[in-house]
Amino acid sequence: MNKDRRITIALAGNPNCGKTTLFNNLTGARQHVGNYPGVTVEKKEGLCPFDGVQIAVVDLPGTYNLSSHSAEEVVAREFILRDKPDVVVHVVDASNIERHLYLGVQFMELGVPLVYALNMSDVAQARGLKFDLAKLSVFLGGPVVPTVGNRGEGTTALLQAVLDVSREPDRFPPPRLSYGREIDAALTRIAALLETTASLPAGLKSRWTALKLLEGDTWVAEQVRCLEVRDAVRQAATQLQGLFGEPPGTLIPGRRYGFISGACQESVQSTVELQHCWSDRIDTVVLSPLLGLPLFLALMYVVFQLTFAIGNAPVQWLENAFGWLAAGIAGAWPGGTDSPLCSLIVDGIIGGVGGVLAFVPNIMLLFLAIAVLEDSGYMARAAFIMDGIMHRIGLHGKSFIPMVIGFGCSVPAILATRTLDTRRDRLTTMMVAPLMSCGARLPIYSLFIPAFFPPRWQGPVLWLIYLTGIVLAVVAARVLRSTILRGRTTPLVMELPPYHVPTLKGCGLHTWERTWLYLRKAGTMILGFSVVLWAMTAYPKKTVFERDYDAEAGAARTQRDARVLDLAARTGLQINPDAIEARWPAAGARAGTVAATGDAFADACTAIETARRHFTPVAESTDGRELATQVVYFVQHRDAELRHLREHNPQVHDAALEYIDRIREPYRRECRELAAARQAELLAYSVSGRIGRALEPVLAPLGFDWRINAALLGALAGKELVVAQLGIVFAVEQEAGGGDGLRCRLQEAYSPLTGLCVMLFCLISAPCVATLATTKQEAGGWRWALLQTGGLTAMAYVVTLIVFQTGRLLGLGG
Amino acid sequence: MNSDVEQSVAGLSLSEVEPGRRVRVEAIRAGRALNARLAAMGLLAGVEVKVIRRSLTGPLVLAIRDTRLMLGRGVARRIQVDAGPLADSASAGSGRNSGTPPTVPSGKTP
Repeated sequence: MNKDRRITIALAGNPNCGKTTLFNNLTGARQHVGNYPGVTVEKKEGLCPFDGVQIAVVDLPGTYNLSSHSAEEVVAREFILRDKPDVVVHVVDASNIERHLYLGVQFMELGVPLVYALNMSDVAQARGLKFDLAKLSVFLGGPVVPTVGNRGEGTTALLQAVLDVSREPDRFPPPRLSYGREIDAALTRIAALLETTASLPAGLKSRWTALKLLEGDTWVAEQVRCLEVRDAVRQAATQLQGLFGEPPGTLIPGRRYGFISGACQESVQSTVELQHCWSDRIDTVVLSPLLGLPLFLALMYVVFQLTFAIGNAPVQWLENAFGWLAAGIAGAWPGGTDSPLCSLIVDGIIGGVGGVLAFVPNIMLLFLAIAVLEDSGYMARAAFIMDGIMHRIGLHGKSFIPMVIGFGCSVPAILATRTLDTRRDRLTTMMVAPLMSCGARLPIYSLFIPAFFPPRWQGPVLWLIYLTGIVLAVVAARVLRSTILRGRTTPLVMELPPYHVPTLKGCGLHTWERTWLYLRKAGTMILGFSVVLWAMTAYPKKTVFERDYDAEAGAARTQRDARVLDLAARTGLQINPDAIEARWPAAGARAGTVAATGDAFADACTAIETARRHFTPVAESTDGRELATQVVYFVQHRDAELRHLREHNPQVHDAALEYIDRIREPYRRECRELAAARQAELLAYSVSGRIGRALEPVLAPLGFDWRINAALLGALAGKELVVAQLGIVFAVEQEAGGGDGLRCRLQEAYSPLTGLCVMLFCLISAPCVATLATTKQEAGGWRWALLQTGGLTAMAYVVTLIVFQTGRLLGLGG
Repeated sequence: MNSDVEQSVAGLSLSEVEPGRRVRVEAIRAGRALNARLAAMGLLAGVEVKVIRRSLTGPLVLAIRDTRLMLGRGVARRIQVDAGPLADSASAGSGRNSGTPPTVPSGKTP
């Protein structure tokens, strides 16, 4: 034997036959997940060294059939026809062997070297099934190896059988299936005609092609262009229809089953009637009309909680970590923060990577939850429960799950559409999922609602916005289903697999694969977009400002120094403001950490500030209402400290107080305002700001001015960025606790109607780049991603326009 | 056509079968793709199935040998069944079918 021989094997089988578990057993961690070109069918490959041979294992998508009716089937069949694997391993659920072998028979028809893995054979034996493996092998034209996937039993024997077959493919001659005299005769006739007219497509066998033509396989029919053959096929089909009253497309499957039950009668002994006893018993509860829906909703709630409640802590850690990293780099950068390279790294790249990674904990948890639901067999039941309701919207029962997840974040919602079987359903769900108001939009609402609505109305307004999203999603789904995604609702035909306990390894691998796919595909794209958006807000740089900020800052500084000198002259104290500032360490420092020096004035300032800092966080955290005793304690404590200082050295105390409140605080505020004004000017000059202005004529009918437009551009990078962008355009000092300052400015600038319109527009309009990138990846093309963005933005425009103009006519301000 | 006559005689579609009853599939009036899909899952003319569950508006669950299959209402309506001799729980409620004589499938499965 050649030492470094390499063979390729394909794992095939029905969904839920334990194929994936077997694949994991064979390849362990040495696997690679990708997509088949052009379709969103996962392609998994792995390597399995055995007995000196490198076995490349390809996990074909789970199918029931080898026709050309679904993407999975086409992928599986094309792989076998084009890539010609050395051996096909057909994984069969031993306790439901007859139905599973329907696929096996089609491999026999193809004439590929076959090995059967009789999986879950322990369960089958416990249920009273006995297999005559030798006889079965002869009937099925390939060795039959019993395996127990979840315990890893039979893997070695299976690999040995694979090697045997790959070395001597002739040892198991493929049995010649008979479909009855009439059909066989027709097949022979068409096969002969294919050969004499030389119209047999390259790489296909004549009898198989004849069979597929007779069955009416569209893919094969397209390959054979010869009219003579087509006529012969049509003639044979009419003849068979007349003879049996059924078209060959129905007859042939019946004959396949006939062959299978013949083979099984000879080689499988059944002592008891098989029962889905456990599964059926669970289903009486899970699918019951009374408990089914509440149970489903409860499970969805758990998934939602798991994804966002647990996931948010690690998300926070990641965001903080990236924040520190950015601050650290900006601080250590030699040229200071004005350096363009530093800005690119800190704001563009770290911001972008941070944006990508921040989703990861949510996504992993979500995928884990979905993997558990899928592996346990519950997902199919969920479709049963929701199908009645979702059907009316034009969606599939399974679409409900992505929609619920959409309330958390659109990215995992779109990824969750993978559980949907047909492309039409998937695309519809994907397109409308961003209308479920995601978590990133909440900061926008919590900025605008309190700014424009009295407390009594705040709750209802928020509810109204969420409801608007849901209603629009339903409308959009219906519109899509009756226009570009038209077609009958795909008939619901789905197996309810028996329940089983999901394995840790299976769910773990599943979660990891999908997360990795997200990171690799969507991640790179999100990063790219983030850099572009950063550049749009940062460039072109304004060099000549309308105000001379440096001079104004200098003037403010001179003014402060003059006041300090005045104070020093009045009190006769030594005051060095720069030294005082330099002494004060990072926020939150405790008393005692600032060492006292000989400078009495500086010490007094430090003491006062320490006392205040102790008090402020407590007062804030208790919201001024609760924990009154604690507040009182801290008030007393602060007063005692200050009193002590005053009594000890009244002159220094008063001077320090004057310095802090009358001199330093106004100076700081002025500096902040100058910086913010400068930033606002920069933004107005940048591409974003210009686009904002350019959009003014278009968006003015919605009540938006250029500042809102520029902020909305930020929404493309992430909806929550609207708040940050508004902060910049309104030049609100960010240090001063953000929210309230900005709310006041918004209140001054806009009417409640405009506020509502901004929120509506943010709810409906173009999704963020992360969503866009995910849609592009999952839908398999820019077309859908752009359609989603364009469609949603158009919808946002129309809805907001109607709301704003109606509101204005009703005299609600504008 | 042959199947039209059958329809007027038997006229029972799978969607009308009471849960718990066992019936034999007579004919499936569906397109090629759906037919192939159903056949691959074991649902084809001549097969015995049992209706396990039927939701009020939505899909129903079938037992075909050891497979549990969920079918949408629309699909179930296109499956014509014969409930005659196989009904192992001929409940009193199924009077809809009581008057019709058991039909003999003409030249169907072997």
